[in-house]
Amino acid sequence: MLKVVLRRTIMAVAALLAAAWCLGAGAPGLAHLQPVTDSLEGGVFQLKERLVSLTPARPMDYFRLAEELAYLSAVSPNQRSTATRMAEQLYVLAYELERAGGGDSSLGPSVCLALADLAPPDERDWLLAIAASFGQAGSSEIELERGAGRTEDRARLDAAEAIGRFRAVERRPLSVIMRRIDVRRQMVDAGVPQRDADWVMGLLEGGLQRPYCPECRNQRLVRTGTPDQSVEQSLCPQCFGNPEPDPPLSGDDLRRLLGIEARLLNAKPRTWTAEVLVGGGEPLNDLDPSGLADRYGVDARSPYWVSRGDSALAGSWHELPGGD
Amino acid sequence: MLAASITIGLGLATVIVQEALRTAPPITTRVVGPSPSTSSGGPSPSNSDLNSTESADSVADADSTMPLQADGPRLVRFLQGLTVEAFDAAPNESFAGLSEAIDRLARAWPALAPEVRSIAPLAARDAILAASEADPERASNVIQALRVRLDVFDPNAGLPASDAIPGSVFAFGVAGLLLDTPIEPRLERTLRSELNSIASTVGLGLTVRDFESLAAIALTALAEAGIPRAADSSAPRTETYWSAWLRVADSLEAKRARSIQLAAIEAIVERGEDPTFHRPTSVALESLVGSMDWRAADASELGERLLAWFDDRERITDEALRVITAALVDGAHLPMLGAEMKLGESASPDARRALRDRYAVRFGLPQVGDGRLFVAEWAGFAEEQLDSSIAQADRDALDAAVRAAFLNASAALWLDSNEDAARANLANVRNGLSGFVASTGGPVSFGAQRTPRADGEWAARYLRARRSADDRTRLLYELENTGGPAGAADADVLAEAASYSTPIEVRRQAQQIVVTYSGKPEVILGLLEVLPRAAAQSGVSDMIADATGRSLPDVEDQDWEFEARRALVARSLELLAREDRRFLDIARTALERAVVIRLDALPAPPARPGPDTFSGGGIDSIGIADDSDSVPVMESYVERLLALCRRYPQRSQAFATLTELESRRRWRDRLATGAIAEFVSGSTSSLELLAYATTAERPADAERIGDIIEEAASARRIATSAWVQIAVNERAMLRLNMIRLGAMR
Repeated sequence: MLKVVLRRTIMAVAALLAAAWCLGAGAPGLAHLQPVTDSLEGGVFQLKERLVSLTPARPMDYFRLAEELAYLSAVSPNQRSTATRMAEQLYVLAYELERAGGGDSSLGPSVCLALADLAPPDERDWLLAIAASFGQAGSSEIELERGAGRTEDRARLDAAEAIGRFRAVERRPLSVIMRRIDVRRQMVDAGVPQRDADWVMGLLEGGLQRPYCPECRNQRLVRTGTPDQSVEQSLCPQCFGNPEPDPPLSGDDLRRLLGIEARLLNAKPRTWTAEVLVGGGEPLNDLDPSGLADRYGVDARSPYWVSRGDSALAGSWHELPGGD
Repeated sequence: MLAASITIGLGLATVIVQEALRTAPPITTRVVGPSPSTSSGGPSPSNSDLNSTESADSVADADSTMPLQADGPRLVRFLQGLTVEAFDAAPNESFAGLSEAIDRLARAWPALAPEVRSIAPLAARDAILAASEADPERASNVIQALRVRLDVFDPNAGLPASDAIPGSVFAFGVAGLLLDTPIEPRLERTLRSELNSIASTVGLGLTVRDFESLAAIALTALAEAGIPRAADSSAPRTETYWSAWLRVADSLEAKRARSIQLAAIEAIVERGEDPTFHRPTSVALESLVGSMDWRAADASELGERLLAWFDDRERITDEALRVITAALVDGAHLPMLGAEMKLGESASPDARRALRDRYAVRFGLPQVGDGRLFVAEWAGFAEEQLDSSIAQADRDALDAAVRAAFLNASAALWLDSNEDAARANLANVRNGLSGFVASTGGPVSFGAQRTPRADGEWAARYLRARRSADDRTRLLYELENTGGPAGAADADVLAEAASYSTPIEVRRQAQQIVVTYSGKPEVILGLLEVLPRAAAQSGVSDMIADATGRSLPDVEDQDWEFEARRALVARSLELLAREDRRFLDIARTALERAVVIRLDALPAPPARPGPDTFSGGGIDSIGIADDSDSVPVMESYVERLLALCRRYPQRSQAFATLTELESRRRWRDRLATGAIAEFVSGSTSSLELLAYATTAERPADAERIGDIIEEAASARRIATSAWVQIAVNERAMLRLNMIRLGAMR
């Protein structure tokens, strides 16, 4: 639900900003949008011709074509990756060419919002933040994807508790939780790397096979006879009062598990040493729109599309019209 | 035809009459003036002027420059039309108009647009010459009117009236332009004698005769006349006088204006009263110092003169220099000047020389004292750092960051006049991260006390005593007094006792022990294990909050369990972090310490927005710190830099506007999650703000500063870790500080 709202917000703000730009430029906006078919040629009016006719003097043409391709990619799953890739390139070129032409970067926020709409979740906030950092009208409408409400996410708490129950060797509550929720899904949604999620699932499933400490059934004490025939409770000779998974977790395994729990709960350790266990220490994405070209592998010095072959998107970008 | 020319010439004459009848009702009667359509080719005020029905008040207010300013081009056009023929055609009106136009221009000229101002005196001169040719006798009256304005230069006349300054300077200038022209010879000799006499009072001659040079001579003479005397006690009067003087001086070409302002300062310092005890003198100095753009791209002349004052102890007293430096600092005329840049009372010659060198650094000028030795040493370290690439390994990257951070801290200390501390901090640069690791005395450990028992032994006894509250109380005392839980088994049992045992007295006692030994990871893990079964009670919540150093919502809140688990997981990770990675926290402490030094070295903002408390600053910060009410040190540093940058006008040369930097900072912070990302975000913001401030400080280096920022952004983009990004930012700040210290490669 949150994502749907977010997507609508992005689209609305992007449209608002782009419309403002179009009005300022006296341009027709999205007038070229055509009925969608399942092919690029059919979905975008004169796609091949328009690509070849793009010229750096008119960055808005790149932006408009990108919008049409982005729209196509949203409604036509068969064309998604190809159309998305071309739309991204066109958006970035629109921004870079406007900038190179001495423009005032008025396209910047629209480009970032449009790219955010196409981006995977881990890139979306970065693009939204760049869009907002332009500080133009409408940017106050932008909200980062992270936000209130997550702390209320009971399923994530349950997933974290499942890991805790595994550590404490408590099979019954563990199996109840695993029947109730998809722990793997919760981990992936929380940004836990797939490899780590697979590892945890292997541990949890193994934990379901080993209910309790076989000696004391997690009571920590066992009854033992004494020479005088009385019965006495003593520390469990198997788990020594501390039931553990079998095989026992190493120190690194324990840290890794806690790190995954922390991701599920969005916990924030205060020390750097601890934070690296939760994925901290990764480079922070700069809010620098001039990094878009690098990020999307676009060379703004090559703004001319040269078509090769029959397919509309078969071709490459060049420094000069018609190729180098 | 005549009627038409009469009508066309009405504009200026209307103004003249209105001026004469300043208290009269709106003018409807118009007096005929020179006409362009006569054969004489006289002046041609615009048609809009003809239809003007301005009220007398709106045009005749002598104190208001606005109407005069608006009239400027018309007045000049009118003067340009006053040819010999025009005087012949309508002598009365032309002479009246000439006198009136000169009078109005004399009062208004400093406020005119530069292009009008430059031709106004020439137009006045040419009109007077035309008048002399047409009617020498009446023209001499006009020149006499100019001479009257020169009376203010009489050295015996006392402090001139401030509103007489523009007119007297204009009169001096126009009179100077009339020399060597065919005016009546006796009058020319008189004028020459008077002007020479005025110029000679300030040791100048009349060799160059363009209006600006003449105006500069007149202003220099008026500066001499304006030196506050012992008998003057009115600071407001002095302030008014110098404000008027400066308004006129500012109308001259910038370099010339700066030159006479500097001369005025020297005149006051040399021949005035002691500014410490004579308020009008200090007011005059403050006005003059405050009027100059010390941050201008070509301000090195100002810097050189300031340093010359420091060097000239004979002429420029400590008292005068104290007022001058205080005016520079208090008026924020240079970026990042704190109280340390004021010459202190009873400053020694060494202190004066040291301060001189700090100003030399600000202006990028050579130093003369011991300070240059420090800067040379500092620069050696800096170059050594910048010559090496940043290694990708975490520890190496942080080592580079720490060394650069302490070089930056050292530069800040030196700029803050704390030279000893600046030198001392160079030791941290030498030792790098390894020095800090060594100073922590080995691995940082928590709850390392050895217990005299095997783990589980106490747990077993406690579990066996389940039915006796007294026994459990005794066992809890024993646990508390013997080093706490020996391991996970003891800790789990303690956590259970603290979470749901009865009676409540036992539970409370257990909770207290949990908090006492919350530095042991097994205790926190025990709480984590028992949490799903724990009672949501305030005692349990308080215990978890105390043990983790985090605040929790009310137990009735639906988020309580989530938040409690989150706090325990985070705390567990903090306690279980690998010893061989502890260098990360040590590096953080070191970096934060370097930031604190830089923060303290910045001038304090006028009003603090909130409590100035920090979570960092010592190795203790590695442990639990309840920072719910404190501001991270990096955030405080960025805030302080921002406050500083807001004090300076926007520089067009800057790589970004302050608004853009603030927006980037806000969104970068929102994007950053976690302490590491927040530090990188703050580090990037502080770099950008320092660059902005340095641009304000050194506009001539704007391009170089822009390159530094761009290169840092590129390096951050390809950085493989947050640690490399921090090192990149610190090194970029190092390059900025090289500019600030005048230690550029």
